[in-house]
Order: sequence, then structure tokens, then C-alpha cells
Amino acid sequence: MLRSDPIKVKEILKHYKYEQSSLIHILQDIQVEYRYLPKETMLFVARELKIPLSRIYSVANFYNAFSLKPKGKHLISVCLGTACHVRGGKRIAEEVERTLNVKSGETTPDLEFTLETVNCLGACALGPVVVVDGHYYGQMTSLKMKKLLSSSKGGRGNGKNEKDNKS
Amino acid sequence: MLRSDPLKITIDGIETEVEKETTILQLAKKLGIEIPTLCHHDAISTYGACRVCTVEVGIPRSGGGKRTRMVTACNYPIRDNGLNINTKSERVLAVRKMILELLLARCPGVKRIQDMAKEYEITESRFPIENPEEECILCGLCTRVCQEIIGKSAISLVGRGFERKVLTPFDEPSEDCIACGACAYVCPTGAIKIVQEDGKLTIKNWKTSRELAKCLECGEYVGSEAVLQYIKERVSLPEDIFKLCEKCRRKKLQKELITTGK
Ligand code: SF4
Ligand code: FES
Ligand code: FES
Repeated sequence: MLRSDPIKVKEILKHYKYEQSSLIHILQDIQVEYRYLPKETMLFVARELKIPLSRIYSVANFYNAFSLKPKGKHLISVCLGTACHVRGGKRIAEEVERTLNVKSGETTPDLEFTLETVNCLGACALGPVVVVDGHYYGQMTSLKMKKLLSSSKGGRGNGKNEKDNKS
Repeated sequence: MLRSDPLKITIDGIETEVEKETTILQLAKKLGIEIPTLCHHDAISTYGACRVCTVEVGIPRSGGGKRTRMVTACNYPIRDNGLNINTKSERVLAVRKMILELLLARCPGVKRIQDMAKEYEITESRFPIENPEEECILCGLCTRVCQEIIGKSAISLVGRGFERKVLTPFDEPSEDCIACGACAYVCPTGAIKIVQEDGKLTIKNWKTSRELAKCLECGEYVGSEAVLQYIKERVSLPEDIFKLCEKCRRKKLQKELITTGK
């Protein structure tokens, strides 16, 4: 389990010059660093920025990008937007749920995978679409999904689905 | 900025002049026109959450004619000459009825909402009741009084949509809360429960307890220790105020006055 290290958080705070108005950026960076917002980092940020903890808690709960529970090393987003849905996205999601024994929004106990379902990733022509650690996989089938899961396991991953994760 | 001339407007058929930026609610109050509110408090910033103060405004178009809009009176600043406000039109009543039905479905057991609904001839909501125990309408008055007036910000609105709630951080006992009870005082629905037991004041909703201070003379409870401490830090008042209850303070003062012979 990751322990939050105040030095890292201090660096992040310094980078944003301890600006109260940068709260969201700061929380985003903490989220990337730890793959969630550890409670003690929120307490720390509240103290350092002199922002009420209640406001930080409110912000952390408002945006989907923040998680209060540790997320897995690999983030799997299965698209259930209209186009992907009619092309069988639901079946792919169920395949992942079965294989990993988690529900959408949950993380495997070994902190390897987090599963989430999303509504349209803007690549409908490729549907059903799955994004794993920022890589788009189109025309997914249950079989392909299975293979993808076993090849991802153990790999590095970054726990976020951002396109900047080029390889 | 130059102070602008008052605006000429009409409200419920009454022609009147009003300072720019006055809200419709402020104007209505001045004229004795009643507009129902739930999430508004004169001493706290407006938020426009409950929508029961909805009224109809006719805003003059530059090319002539008017466009009509439904707005919330509590946070609508009057800025146009010739504005025509109607607080009781059929459309207003229909909208208010709908809002009250929705509020009643959310908080079926809250007296204030029941009464308000009754005034609009609504006794039952046609919308499904999710949680018959629910008492909070998420108006946020409690969070705003805590932040703006008390200066503690111990609670906030957390989550989105139907998961939204008022909570302390992590839904745990709050370090910031001093159990002043201002939240319960402003809450329009009585959703915040405070109990006094075992020498403590507990705000159930915030899972927070504070010791009660006792009067040095008679032993009656004076109030939350943390509140007294907080006041002490901010204003200089005679020490007595923090040690004696109101009655004993008065007695003491009387005695002093008599013995000094004034
Ligand atoms: S607890 Fe009361 S004051 Fe606070 S948001 Fe709910 S209804 Fe409003
Ligand atoms: S519906 Fe899946 S990418 Fe648009
Ligand atoms: S009083 Fe105006 S919206 Fe609640």
C-alpha cells in the first residue's frame, strides 16, 4: 500500500506557489502521484493552504477525476456509450467484471486493476471501445479482452487513462 | 462609479421606484408583498437552491415588447427600467406548486414544507418518496452560516446529484465544529439534531460533541466550552461572561450597583 510522503506533496504545493486558487491542480497532481487522495494529504493541504478541510473534501468528492480510495495500477475504462452499447460494450464490461471479480467503479484487492464504465469516448466508429492505461482498443470482443487483461497484469501501468501515455 | 438614478418598475401592478441592484425579494419585503422562501436568510449570502421564491418578470426588449422569464426573487437583482414583476400570476403559482410537490416528495415529514404546500392546496405529492425520513433540502444555509458568520467552515455540501449531502469532512467528528448550533438555528426544516446529555452538547448530524461549561455560581450549563473559548479569542469581554450564566451575571451586577450605591 502506498504511503503518502509529505515531501512529494510539499513539492506539488511549491510548484503551485501555495496558491489557494490552484487547489484543483494540486489535488490532480496528488491523485496522479498516489492514484487516489490519501486522507492525510488532504489534511496536509488544508493546513498548508489554509483552506477549510470541508471545502477540500467537497471538491474531492465532486469531481470524477478524484478518488478517495486507492485505485488500481491499471485503469480499465469500458465504453457503454450508445454506439458501443449497441455493439456489445455491455458484454465486454461483464467479461471484465467476471474475470476480475469487481464491479464498475471497484478496484481489485491486489490493487492491479480498477474498472470503470464511461459514456462515449468519442471513438464510436471503433466500438466497442476499451481504454487501458491510456491506450485505445477498438472492436473489442470478450476474447480480446481476456487476452488484454492477462497481458496487462504485472505491467507498469499508470492508473490513468490519459492520451499523453504514449509508447 | 456614479450612483445611478432609481429605476421605475412595476411589481404586482404597483408602480414604484427602486435602487439598482436591489433584489426582487428585498423590494417585495419593503412593499409588504409576501414571497415564500426556504433557502434565504437576510444575514447570509443567497444561493438560489430551493426555488420556492420563483416569480415572473417581464423584461423590456430594446426593440419594444417584453420577454417573460421565471426567476428566483432572492437572487435576482433589478437592473432594468420598466421591469414588470408578477409574484402571483397563474404561471408563478403553477411553478411554485410543482416545486412544493417536489420538495414534499423529498421531505414528506417536514412541517414547514407541509404547511407551505398546504397554502398552495397541496397535501400530497404525485412524485415517489425515496426516503420518508429525509429532512434536508440541501439548501446549504447551514454550510454558509458556518463559513460566513461563524467562520469555521466545519461542514460542506458533498457529492453530486442524488448523492449530495451535508457532511463534515470524511463524515467523521469535526475538529473545526465548536457546537455553536448556528446551523440548526438557520436550518429551515429542522434537519439538524442537537442533543444535550452527560454534560455534552452533541450535533448528531456532524457526529461532534463538545463539553458544556457550567456557571461557577449556580452550576447551570452556560454553553459549549468551545464556543465560549472561541468568543473569548475574538472579542474582549469581561471574564465573568464566560464563567457565569446569564441570571447569575445579572444578580452580580445588581449587587455591585447596590453596594457602590449608584
Ligand atoms: S441541513 Fe438544513 S440548513 Fe443544511 S442544507 Fe439541509 S435543509 Fe439546509
Ligand atoms: S459510444 Fe463508445 S466511443 Fe462513443
Ligand atoms: S429562497 Fe430563493 S431560491 Fe430559495
